[in-house]
Amino acid sequence: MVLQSYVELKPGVPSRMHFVEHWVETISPTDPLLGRALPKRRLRFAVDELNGQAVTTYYSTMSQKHAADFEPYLPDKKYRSYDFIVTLSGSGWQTEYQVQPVPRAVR
Amino acid sequence: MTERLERERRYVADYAAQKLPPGSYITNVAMGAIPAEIIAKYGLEAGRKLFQPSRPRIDLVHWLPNHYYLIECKIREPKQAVGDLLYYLGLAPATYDLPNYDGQKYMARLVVPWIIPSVRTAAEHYGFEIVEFLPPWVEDYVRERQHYFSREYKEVRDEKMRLRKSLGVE
Repeated sequence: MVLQSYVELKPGVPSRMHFVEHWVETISPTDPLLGRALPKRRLRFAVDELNGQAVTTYYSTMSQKHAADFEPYLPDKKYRSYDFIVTLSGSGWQTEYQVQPVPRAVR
Repeated sequence: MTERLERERRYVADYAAQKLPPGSYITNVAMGAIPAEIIAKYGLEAGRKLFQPSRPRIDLVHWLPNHYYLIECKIREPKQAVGDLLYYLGLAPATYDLPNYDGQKYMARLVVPWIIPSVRTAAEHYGFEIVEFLPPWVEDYVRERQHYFSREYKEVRDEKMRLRKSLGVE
């Protein structure tokens, strides 16, 4: 079992994750341009498997676009039946996420 | 602060989750090749990292044994999606890293809540498949947009803005 505080995606490297729980939190990070705190919604998942290894960690995103990728899987915690292969590219405003949900039974 | 809702991406995710076989699709896929001069200057891996954010992205690719679907989903402005699909069909043969592509025939699919006649005519002219997909939340959104410029809606909106201003809420 690997313990790590959060999943850090590397550009161009697919990460396969299995989620067991989720939360939507409101946090107030300081906007670097405005210099003041702005409330943001953050979708957070508890991850128990990362690239085939058992882990205890979290995956979270403040990107509403990326959060929308998971929206159909949130009701009834449907995401528990899937692995999600997420590939990050770019950074800052150019960050993009490619997402492939894979049913656990198919593995 | 009024929060922006991400509807187009949710529409793509909803369509894929409800209508496509699980495990046979990927969302937000980069299309087109990395220019040879970038690879020559930086090498394949570094060039890829550098150029990847500039590559255009299709909403969805979906693979079957004999067909490879390029899918664009649009709630509003379906006319744009017809042009986008033509563009992606042109880029597909040059995209060396299309996920799970194994020589299948390319197919283009347009997913919209409903089809208007001119868009249908254009899409059929190019041989695109047309799929109408209308989840309930899209119906609500469209109704809200239809009323946006009506007097009643404007009055409610103005009142909300006045309250926000008087309470000092953003």
